[in-house]
Amino acid sequence: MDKQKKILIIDDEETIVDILKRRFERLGFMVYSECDGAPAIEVLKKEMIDLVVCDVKMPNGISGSDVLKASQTYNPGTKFVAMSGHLNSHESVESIMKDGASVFIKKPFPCLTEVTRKIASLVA
Amino acid sequence: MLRNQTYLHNLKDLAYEPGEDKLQESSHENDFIFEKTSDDQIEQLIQQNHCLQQALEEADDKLKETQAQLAQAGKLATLGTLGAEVAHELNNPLTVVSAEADEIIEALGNGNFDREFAAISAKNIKKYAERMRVIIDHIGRYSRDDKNSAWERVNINRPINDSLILLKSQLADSGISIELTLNENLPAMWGHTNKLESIFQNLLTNAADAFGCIKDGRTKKLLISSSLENTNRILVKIKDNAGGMSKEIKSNIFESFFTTKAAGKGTGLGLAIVQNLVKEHRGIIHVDSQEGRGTEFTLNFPLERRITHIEK
Repeated sequence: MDKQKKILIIDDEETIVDILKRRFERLGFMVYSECDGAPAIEVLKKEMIDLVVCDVKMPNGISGSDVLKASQTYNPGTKFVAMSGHLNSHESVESIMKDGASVFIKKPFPCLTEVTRKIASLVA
Repeated sequence: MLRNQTYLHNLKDLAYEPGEDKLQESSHENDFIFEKTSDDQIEQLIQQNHCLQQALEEADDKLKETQAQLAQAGKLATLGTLGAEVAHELNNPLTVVSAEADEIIEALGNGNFDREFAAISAKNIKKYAERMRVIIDHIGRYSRDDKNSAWERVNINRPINDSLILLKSQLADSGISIELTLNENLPAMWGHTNKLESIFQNLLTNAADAFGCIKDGRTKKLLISSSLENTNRILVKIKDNAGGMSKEIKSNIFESFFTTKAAGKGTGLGLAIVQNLVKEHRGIIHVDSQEGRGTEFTLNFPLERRITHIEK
């Protein structure tokens, strides 16, 4: 990697954030992480992020779609990866993909190694 | 004897109806008494009374059976609507378990096995497997037929907390913040854990649904409290600041099959079941609602089974 890429990981499940953080650090990324949408939007306002990995459904009123919109506003061109473990989230998945997310990944991940490599390849 | 005669005269006066001829007084003292009932007639009346009592008991048994079936049907319906939430509740810990296992497998495969990292992964696997066990155990207990579980001494906080196991994520995802004010020193009441949990499951699901049509950006709050009243009653309040309801809707909410939810969303059984289950606990349910401002359900249970009135 010529220049260290910045990735922002957001999920309300802290351990999932920790696991992805470990992986992306090993892959050479500078990792920013949050467990809530509102502070994640603050990060997007301050930092030029290359890649956002974000849970679609999150508590406290800020959803993945809100983070995507903030990403498009403050970091145009940033690749956005949406994740969800909800079975009934077809509508929100369709909607977030239509709004401009690059990839959707279903939880649980079939294989962590493959998933993280696929995400990393978006900014390779 | 004289007093008896006066009494019987009065009875005769009572038997007089306008438009009827006055009862004729007999010259015989005993004829003042209404027609003498024979032993056979008394026996017949006793038998009729016995038959009526039996029929009443049978009807009561059938009613109880129907209520139990209704409660079970409603509970399964609630579980059905909760299916997607249950899957989500299991998917998150499953993501951790699967990903941490991948971490260990990869470290073993490429020879970079770090004991410290492996220990973190293993602990997470154990922790999240336990979380899945609690959820699955909870669903098992909740869906079980109530006939097989018993009445016992229950701390009301337990079914309140248990009902939140499946619902807290749904509530949080809908942007609803929960404020729990549970009195930790409550004495145990006589109750049925599963039935009490059904009550809270239904009331909380209703509150979550009530927030569904709120689009004005207000902070969505659900307050749940438990407290002791007059040393012998347990009070539980569930208050939301959603849209409330009109007087007309409020007067019908405990009717079976009454629903304001969209087709396929509500069974119309939830609050009817809640009311039945509260009655089974000799409790009282009260609803206070202001249109546009919110609804508060107050549940009042006696600590003991036999108390049927509220002592003021």
